[in-house]
Amino acid sequence: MIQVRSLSKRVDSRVLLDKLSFDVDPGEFFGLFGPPGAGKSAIAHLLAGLLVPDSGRIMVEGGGDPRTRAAKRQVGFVPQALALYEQLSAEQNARFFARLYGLSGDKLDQHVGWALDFVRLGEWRHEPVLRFSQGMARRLNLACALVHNPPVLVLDEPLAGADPQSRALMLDNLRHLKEHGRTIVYCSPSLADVSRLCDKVAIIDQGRILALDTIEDLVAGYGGPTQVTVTFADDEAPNLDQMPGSVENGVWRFPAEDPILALQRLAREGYAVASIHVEAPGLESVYESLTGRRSRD
Amino acid sequence: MIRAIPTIAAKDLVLLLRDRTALFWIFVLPVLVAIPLGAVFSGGLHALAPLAVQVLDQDDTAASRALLATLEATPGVKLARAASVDAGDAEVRLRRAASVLVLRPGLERAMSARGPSAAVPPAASPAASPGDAPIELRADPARKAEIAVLRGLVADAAVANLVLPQPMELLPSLRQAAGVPGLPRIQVVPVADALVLPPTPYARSFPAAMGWAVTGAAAAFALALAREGWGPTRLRLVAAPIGAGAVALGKALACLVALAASLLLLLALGAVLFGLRPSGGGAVALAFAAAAAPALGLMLLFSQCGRGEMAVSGVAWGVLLVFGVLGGTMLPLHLLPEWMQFVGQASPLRWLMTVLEGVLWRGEDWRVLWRPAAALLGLGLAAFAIGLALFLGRRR
Repeated sequence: MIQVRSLSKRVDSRVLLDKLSFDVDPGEFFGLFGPPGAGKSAIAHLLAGLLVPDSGRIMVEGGGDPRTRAAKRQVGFVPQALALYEQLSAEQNARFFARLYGLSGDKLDQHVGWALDFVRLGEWRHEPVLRFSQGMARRLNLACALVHNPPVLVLDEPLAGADPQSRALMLDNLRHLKEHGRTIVYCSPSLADVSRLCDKVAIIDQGRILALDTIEDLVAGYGGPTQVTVTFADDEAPNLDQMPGSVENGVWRFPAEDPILALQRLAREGYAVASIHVEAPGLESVYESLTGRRSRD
Repeated sequence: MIRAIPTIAAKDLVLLLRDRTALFWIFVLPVLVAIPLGAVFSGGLHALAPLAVQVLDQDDTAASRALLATLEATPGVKLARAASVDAGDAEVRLRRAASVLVLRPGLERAMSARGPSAAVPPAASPAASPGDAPIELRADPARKAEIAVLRGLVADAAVANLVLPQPMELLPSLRQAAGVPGLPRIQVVPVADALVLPPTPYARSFPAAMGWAVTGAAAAFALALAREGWGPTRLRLVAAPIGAGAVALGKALACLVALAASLLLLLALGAVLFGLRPSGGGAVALAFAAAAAPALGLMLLFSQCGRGEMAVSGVAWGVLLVFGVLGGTMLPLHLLPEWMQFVGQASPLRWLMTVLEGVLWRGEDWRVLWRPAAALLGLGLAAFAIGLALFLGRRR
């Protein structure tokens, strides 16, 4: 559906993207995860035809180069900023953007009505956007990208700043779109969102793809073992010379391929344990393993 | 792309209707300018700037030269040599001179010869033909006050240079009886096709108000385009399958519609309530085109002169207000110092005022107005082309 080959982009002397290549299959929910400044938005803008690459190419199925009108008709773009006219109502915004994609007459009415109902703004359709909460505006931002019913969605941090209720609603919206076969490229700095939604994830840092695979394979390949944290009931920690990991202030942290075996050993040796926390590997540990730092750093 | 332009224009007009500041600049301020300014004019703001007089000395004698020297030394009078009567008349028609003063051959004789006085007030000899009198004042009949002042000044200069035997100059009746020279007759000759008197004081304020409408539309839409160009909605517009210039052209169309609405409002108000007599439809259309072209061109050009809304706002209002001061939309031109009047000839709003006054009350048609109208259209096209090129370049 989308092919990206050797994509590079610089702004002045700063490298935004450095020879990126990846494919997004039809109906796939493809995540681009990375810290702020990693290059996610640059990719989203290139996929939406907003930027011209310095080298490399992008092909969108059914349209070719994303800067062509044919490709633009295939893509719905949700920018990170709220790209709405505040003085216009929700419906006027949706109608305006739909008309830019050539919709008119009954089809226009149907699409606008569907998009606003989909993000649960049907009741608010006549309200000007300036009266909307941040979460409602976020939902309308999504609706305006969906209104022409594109097969491909490029979402650049679509949940940024949304309240919990709107966030949950939009996550449901995105799952629904995925189930109905939309191809979605989803840029986010939130590992939780990416983990919940994406079939495949590219981890990006400083304009380069560090790893690209399904979440399961990324975790299997880079996530490392399960981390176990044990807090002992006695102030004095036991002698754990023969055990892996480290002890600090009565708290023992150790990696364990099989945490149950380690815990059974503790029990056999009669240690009084106050609490046990077992953390299975996930994208956070993948990111930490790839970059040497945590995603929130 | 063609379908996108009216879509964008319609959206911008709806946004305009919800933007009270922009509505004020485009619709309210021009009306506020038209009515109070007209009332001010009716209160006597016809105060005279220095009287510009074209001079043709056909007598070319010591007496005629002395008369001109006296006149030239008179405060408030500015003389300039005319190459011919026709050239002088042309200056009057263009409002660059109040009158052409022609000193006919025989003036010196009339000022020194003994015989019946030639001094006959013009009002007393309406049938006299040009050439009968030794002094001829060719003027726009609409400028009665200036003609009266000028005739008095010329008469004073002539009296000051009469060749009189002492002490009889003090006694006109004795002078008549003795056959000594009297005041040479001054003939006022109307210049054909010269300007007509404004039918109402509002005839001057409504063109100024229309100039404000142009200013308001250009600045408001330049700002709107800058907002679009630097704001997040730009991302959606670029991502949409529309032509690169559609946003700028849509904004220009919205600007044109808003400006036309404002001009029509002023035209209707002026014609129905304030006694304006617009020329025919063709001339009005020409005037509207001459107003719209610089508005659209400058709108697009200013929108590209800065990074962000604040910068564009500063440039647009700064330049347009200077144009307004120099062009006569903020203050009547004759209140400005002479050097500002001269510099003001570079202001497009000055050209626009000439066109609008010609159409709104001078009864002029395209044959008279084509030069300033063509200049405005040319300026508008050039500014639009440069602005569009900058817009497209920035978008790339």
